[in-house]
Amino acid sequence: MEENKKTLSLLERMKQKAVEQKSYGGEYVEQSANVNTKTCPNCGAGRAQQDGLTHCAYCGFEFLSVKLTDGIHIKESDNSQNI
Amino acid sequence: MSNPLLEPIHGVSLQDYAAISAKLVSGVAQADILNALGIEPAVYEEASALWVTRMQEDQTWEVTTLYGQYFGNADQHPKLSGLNVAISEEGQANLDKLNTDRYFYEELCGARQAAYQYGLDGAQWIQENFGINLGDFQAVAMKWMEVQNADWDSVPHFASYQQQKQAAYAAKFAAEQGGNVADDVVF
Amino acid sequence: MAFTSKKATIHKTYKHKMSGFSKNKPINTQAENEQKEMQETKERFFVFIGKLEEKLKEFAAASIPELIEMNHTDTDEFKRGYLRLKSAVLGQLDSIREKASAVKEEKITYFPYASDTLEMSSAYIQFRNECYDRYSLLEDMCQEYRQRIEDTQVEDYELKYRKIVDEYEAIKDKFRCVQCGSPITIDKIYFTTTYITCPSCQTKNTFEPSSQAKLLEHIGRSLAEQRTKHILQQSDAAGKEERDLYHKAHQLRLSLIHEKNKEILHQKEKEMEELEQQRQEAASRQPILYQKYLRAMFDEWNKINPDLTNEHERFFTTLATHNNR
Repeated sequence: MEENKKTLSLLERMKQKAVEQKSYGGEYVEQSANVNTKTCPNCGAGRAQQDGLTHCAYCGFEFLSVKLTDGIHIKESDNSQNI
Repeated sequence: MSNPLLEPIHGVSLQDYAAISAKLVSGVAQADILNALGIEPAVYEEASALWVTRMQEDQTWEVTTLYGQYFGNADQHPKLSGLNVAISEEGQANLDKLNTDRYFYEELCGARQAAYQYGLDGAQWIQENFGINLGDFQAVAMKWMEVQNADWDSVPHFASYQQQKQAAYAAKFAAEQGGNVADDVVF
Repeated sequence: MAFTSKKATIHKTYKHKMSGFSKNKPINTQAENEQKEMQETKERFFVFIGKLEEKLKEFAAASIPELIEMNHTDTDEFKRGYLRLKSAVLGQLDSIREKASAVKEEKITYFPYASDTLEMSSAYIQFRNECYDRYSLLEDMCQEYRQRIEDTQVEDYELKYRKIVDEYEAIKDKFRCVQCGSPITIDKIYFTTTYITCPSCQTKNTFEPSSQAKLLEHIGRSLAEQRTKHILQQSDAAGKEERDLYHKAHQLRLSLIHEKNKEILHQKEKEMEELEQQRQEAASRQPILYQKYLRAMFDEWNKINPDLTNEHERFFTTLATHNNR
């Protein structure tokens, strides 16, 4: 009986420690899906479909400073052409 | 570049990807990292998912090995080297020591192992007690791994040192939780 | 402490023997004492291990329901609280095993005896083997409980996947173009942030999936593994069958060494042949089952996250050619 009590109190302390401890990187926050759009910081235009993703279709401002390749949904053809 | 698995994905090279990962684990905000590289989350998330698949299909371990090296050298990344989280003076001193003193490194590895055995989040414990974040710790680990790979003869010596330290920290954690379950069983 | 003083006595007796005083009696007495000491040590060791086993059972019995409960109630996406407790419980199991192992080494492996007789050394070997066997029963028990503790870590990946699908159904027509306000349809489950073109004004909207949807690829593999686990188990069973048959044949081969009776020899050899045939059959069945498992697992994974089908297939090729479990 006495033995069992000791085990239980040890387990209780272990449980408390597991729950109350801070996790590395902080708490996990579930974020819901959302839609946004990028506005050109240079000319204020919304990001347009024509002429690719990497540059602003109106003023040529660089949105992305990389060359896109064939990925999952983003493809090489999404590189802006008229720059 | 002879290995096609090493070609950049959306312009994100393996070096970029490894450095991003290291900076994220260190606690640098993703937005700051992506800004520095001139990419958006859509590009990074695709590149990240695809780098994982590259490692999966890599039969030679070349991608994974290089990833480890780049991760360890994230601070030399041309665009990301300046991005760091605040580190205390004590933390910096400990990090410097971790970089130069193999015994200290082995001690903290042992301590971290012992921490997990006693239900502590080892990474968090190192952060709280030595001021070193997991990203920096892992980066140093990569460096010591290279040292170890070049000198196999010293492995048993350091392994036994780490074990000793692990046992010492285990004893400390056991005392903190009020002992181990079978302390009253004696021969 | 009592042990050290006895060790000293043994040492004294030994010196006595060497100096040539009284020929037989001290040696016999010494050997007798040592054997008695051995017997006592063994008895104490068995009691000690028995007590540790009791502790182990008691602790595991109390922990397992707590772990099951916490696995259920931990709301953290990665169940980190539960994982910490599991790690701590396993740590206690280790502490029991380590305690037994340290005592085994000190009291059994380095049991001090001085009598330099054949009888004594064979007595020691028997003593040591009996104690080692007793210790390995504890190790087996630790292993068994370790497995039971690991088994509390269950995750219902069907449920996690269902949540992603349900969420998708709920949100797919919910969004509007940030530029012109026209409805935008999310045409499938995306697990990475992506650009979606507004059908009215052609603006590129950035769609960011929820945190749970971002885990689709990861959950997909675990779910695919969960769905096809039974085939993997068949493959593992064939592997085990092969090893068991090999072991059986090996035992039989050992028993032949001193066998003189030709009839029995013949019968056993025939038996060994049969075992070998069965072993080969199991050995050839195992990789086929493993390949079947891999194919089924990847088919499921592709169904769950079709966007990475090409990448999965290349991974499949790597595994199928380089990894025969």
